[in-house]
Amino acid sequence: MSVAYQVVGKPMPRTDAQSKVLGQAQYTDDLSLPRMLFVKVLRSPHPHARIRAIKTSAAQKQPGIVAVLTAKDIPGENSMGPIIKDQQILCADLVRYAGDAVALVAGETEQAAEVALERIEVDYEELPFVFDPLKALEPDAPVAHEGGNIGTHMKVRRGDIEAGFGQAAAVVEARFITPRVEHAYIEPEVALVSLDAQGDVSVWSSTQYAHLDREEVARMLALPQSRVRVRQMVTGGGFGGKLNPHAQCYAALVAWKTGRPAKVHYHRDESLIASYKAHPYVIDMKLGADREGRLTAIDARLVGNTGAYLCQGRAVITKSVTHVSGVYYIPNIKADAYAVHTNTVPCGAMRGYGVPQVAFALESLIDELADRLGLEPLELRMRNALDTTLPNATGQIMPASIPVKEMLARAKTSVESLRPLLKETPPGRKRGIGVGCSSRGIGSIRKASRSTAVVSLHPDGSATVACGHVDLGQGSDTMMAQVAAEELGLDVDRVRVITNDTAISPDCESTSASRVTYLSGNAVRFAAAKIKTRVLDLAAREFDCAADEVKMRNGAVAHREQGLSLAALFGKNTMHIITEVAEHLPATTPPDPETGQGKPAGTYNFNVHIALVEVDEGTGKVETLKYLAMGDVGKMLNPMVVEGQMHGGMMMGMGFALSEEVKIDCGVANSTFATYLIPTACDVPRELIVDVIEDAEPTGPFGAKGFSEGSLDPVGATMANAVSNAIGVRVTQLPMTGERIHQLLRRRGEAVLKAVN
Amino acid sequence: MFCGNKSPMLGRLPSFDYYRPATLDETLTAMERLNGNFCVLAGGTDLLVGMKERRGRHPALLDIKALPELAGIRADNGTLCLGATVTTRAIAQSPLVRERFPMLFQSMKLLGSMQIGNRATIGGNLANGSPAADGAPPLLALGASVKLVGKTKERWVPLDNFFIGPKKTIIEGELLAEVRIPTPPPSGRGIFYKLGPRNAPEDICIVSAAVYGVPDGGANGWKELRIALGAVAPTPIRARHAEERLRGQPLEPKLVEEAARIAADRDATPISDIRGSADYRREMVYVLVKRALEQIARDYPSAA
Repeated sequence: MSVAYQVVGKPMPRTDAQSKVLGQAQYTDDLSLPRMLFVKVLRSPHPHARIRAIKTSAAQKQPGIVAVLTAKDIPGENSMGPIIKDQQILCADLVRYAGDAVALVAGETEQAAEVALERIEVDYEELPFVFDPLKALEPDAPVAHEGGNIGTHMKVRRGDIEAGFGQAAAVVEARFITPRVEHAYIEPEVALVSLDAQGDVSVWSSTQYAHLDREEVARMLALPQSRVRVRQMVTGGGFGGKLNPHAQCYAALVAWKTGRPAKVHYHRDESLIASYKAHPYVIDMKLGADREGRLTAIDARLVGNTGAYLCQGRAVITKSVTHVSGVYYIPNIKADAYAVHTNTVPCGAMRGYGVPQVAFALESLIDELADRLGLEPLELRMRNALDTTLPNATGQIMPASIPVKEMLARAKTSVESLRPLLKETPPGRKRGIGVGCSSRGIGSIRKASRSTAVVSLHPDGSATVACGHVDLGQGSDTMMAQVAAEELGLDVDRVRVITNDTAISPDCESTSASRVTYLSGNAVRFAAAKIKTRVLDLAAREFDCAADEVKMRNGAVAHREQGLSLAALFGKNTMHIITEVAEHLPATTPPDPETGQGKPAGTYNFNVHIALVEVDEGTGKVETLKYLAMGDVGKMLNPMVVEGQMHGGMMMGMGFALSEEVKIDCGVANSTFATYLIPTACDVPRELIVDVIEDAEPTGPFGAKGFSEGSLDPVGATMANAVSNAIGVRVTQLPMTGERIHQLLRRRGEAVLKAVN
Repeated sequence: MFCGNKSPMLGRLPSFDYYRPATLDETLTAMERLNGNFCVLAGGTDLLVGMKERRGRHPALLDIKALPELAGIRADNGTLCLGATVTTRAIAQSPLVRERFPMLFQSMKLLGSMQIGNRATIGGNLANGSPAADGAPPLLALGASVKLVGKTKERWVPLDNFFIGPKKTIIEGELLAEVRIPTPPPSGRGIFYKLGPRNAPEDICIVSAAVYGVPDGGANGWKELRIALGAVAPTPIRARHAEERLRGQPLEPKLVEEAARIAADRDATPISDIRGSADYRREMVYVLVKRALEQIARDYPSAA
């Protein structure tokens, strides 16, 4: 773009950076109120059981205990869920996973509440349970959730699958398995709730969607939403995991019943045990290509283990299935995705939302296919890459901002530059290079998704932006300030962004799906533009000129030698504020339930990653020597934020690839960070390069679009391809722990031995 | 499958009585009075976590960090004396340890993050009785002893006899006061390898191995060759069968392989747990012991 911007596109530190570095940022747990109670949750030790009776009298009599509450104390609806509300806030008669909530204790101290928790007697009748999603699909499996174990079935149907495989010169297929993953936000779930003199409810919480907190608390208490006000406090990460306000509901119920302020804060183990995870998948995929290396057909069955509750399972598997063909044009597609219930911790939204799992399967098969066809993996990718003329799996054609081929060409140069390093492999090690690609529709794709912003210009040349897209630490508040500042000709520190208060900020749906930049960025920009138009019109009248001859900069308007401060302009018009509202609602068509066809996203983000890894042949441990993350972001609103997000997404993907796996024994088996292994600073690739591709999105604010999940999407695929390339065996299961890779190396050794004999 | 016995509600630190005696005598008196219903608290990096997770319940904790007798690193005629409450990071930072006991230095550096290293003590690392204690294999290989002090008597116990089971040591109402490591001959050479699931030092090891050798100066082999293993048996162990196989012979590649195999198949008796399967652990004993022996042989080609 040739337009020179003053504020957007410039690297600037996040507006919250200094307060966080100095330890001054106020998180929910930093708050406390007089007479505040501490709330603890009693959770089921059984994966599946009927509740015959709950005796609370002994707990009630413990010193310092103010209330013990169960399902029957809920005045309104006893249900919750980010999208599908199929989980009870407190289980009334049935528990469906070890960790399901059964009762609350409110005490004067946390210690008192904990002691009393152990005195609640629950009479359970244990029921048969199932953990494995494939077993859950068998005819006589225990029923993990009423209505059957298939929570949802979503499909994509394009072309003629039989004919497609008929044209194929090579066909590859495999089963791929991915782990259940924890978000591991640094701040576990926390909420504080109090009632005011009128009985209205105030909530302070760590959340990705303050308005959903409001809706759920109001519904549980049978109150109008107007009587609940939620303020999102500084939030220590969410990554999709803070979209179900359970802690908020527990604190609100106690506050409502006792009239006293109440706080819930989960410790790490409770967060790991109770709150939802990313879906583990079993993927059976088959892919064919003709002699020229053109993909002809894909057949896929995706089984996502959604655990005890559907939560967001339907939306997650919809995202997966609609992204089954990745960055490629495949004319014939048959894909079926299932969200399957088991008696395990529920699974829902997490950064990636079903895309990293399918990208792992698809990109692995692309490499296998290239091998069969005798093509370079990047060459096969290039021959099938999407461009402005070819549709993705949903039939959608992106008319602009789809630089896949350019990215693949750059990747080719990078791979060539890495190749000499393969010759420097030390003894006892194996090196390999892998490439992985991904595409991602921005925003929720099952329904249209709208954002609303209210922008106000004050006479002193400052502005307030109210927009309900909370910042979880990713930097969106900073970028929204930049957008408004650019449009209004102000310095960025003259703009205050309020996203965290339901009484002020309009509902913009959740901070999720990489949607804030694209949706709210536009809403803010449009509202600011409307203000600018009004100001210029007023100024044009003063200066007796045309509106487009007026300049607006630094809180003043000017036309040639004439100038006027905004204060003076406002005064002459008896104005104290100019406020405008605007929305952004991209024109989309949700995928058809039978065929998956539609136009589900306003724009897409593309990523191509490259890894050079070294595998220890003895231990199976994988080390990443170089990692290149290439991401297409439309246009950067703030390069520092973009780079930070891409580093974070890449490292989060590295956990998915190498070490993270929530294991189930009865409930979550590894409920500490000593056993649930996220990458540490020692696990960062020896060299990490971020390469941002700018190809403006015409419908985005200043050409920008979302990218935060995209930076994670292809990491598992890329690493698996690199490791497979290194060891000469196809990796089909993540994470690639030393033990798993060691097993593959050993099996390969045995196979070679057999072949020799 | 049996399910439902484990409460998923992990509690917080339960209440306990806390004592912080100022002298050794006060400590021993308190120990006698508490009559076994206590646990010694030094760094607490495992003890307190275990109490939170209800792995261990202790009505009283006796904090020994204030005892001046137990603090400090000193050399006594070449013997290295480590007070029980010396932190693992202090050991890792000691120039004496780094120069004369590089294997111990290595293991202390890998024992945990800086924060853990600043709290965790060498006495705690051993007295805790974990089969995966990072300090144990190098100290076993170096032939260390520990001083156990009781109200009426004190005794020295070779570390070889100290561990008796998972979380069990030979301590009986005594305080582990000091660790002593005999002077290694100048030609002695030790290697410590720790295999964790990540590159992070704070990980509990899947397997660890320490090999210590003293070449006999001639061409035929080694005066001493000790192999110790972590996390592959109910306690940290010496790999006696493997050591036996190597006795008095040069470290030829075939012999190294054979000894490593013996360590894996005969000395190690691993279990499967959340960090790794028994099978993988066994294989990793083979890999680590082989590598350590090869490294030693490379360092002293004349003895190999």
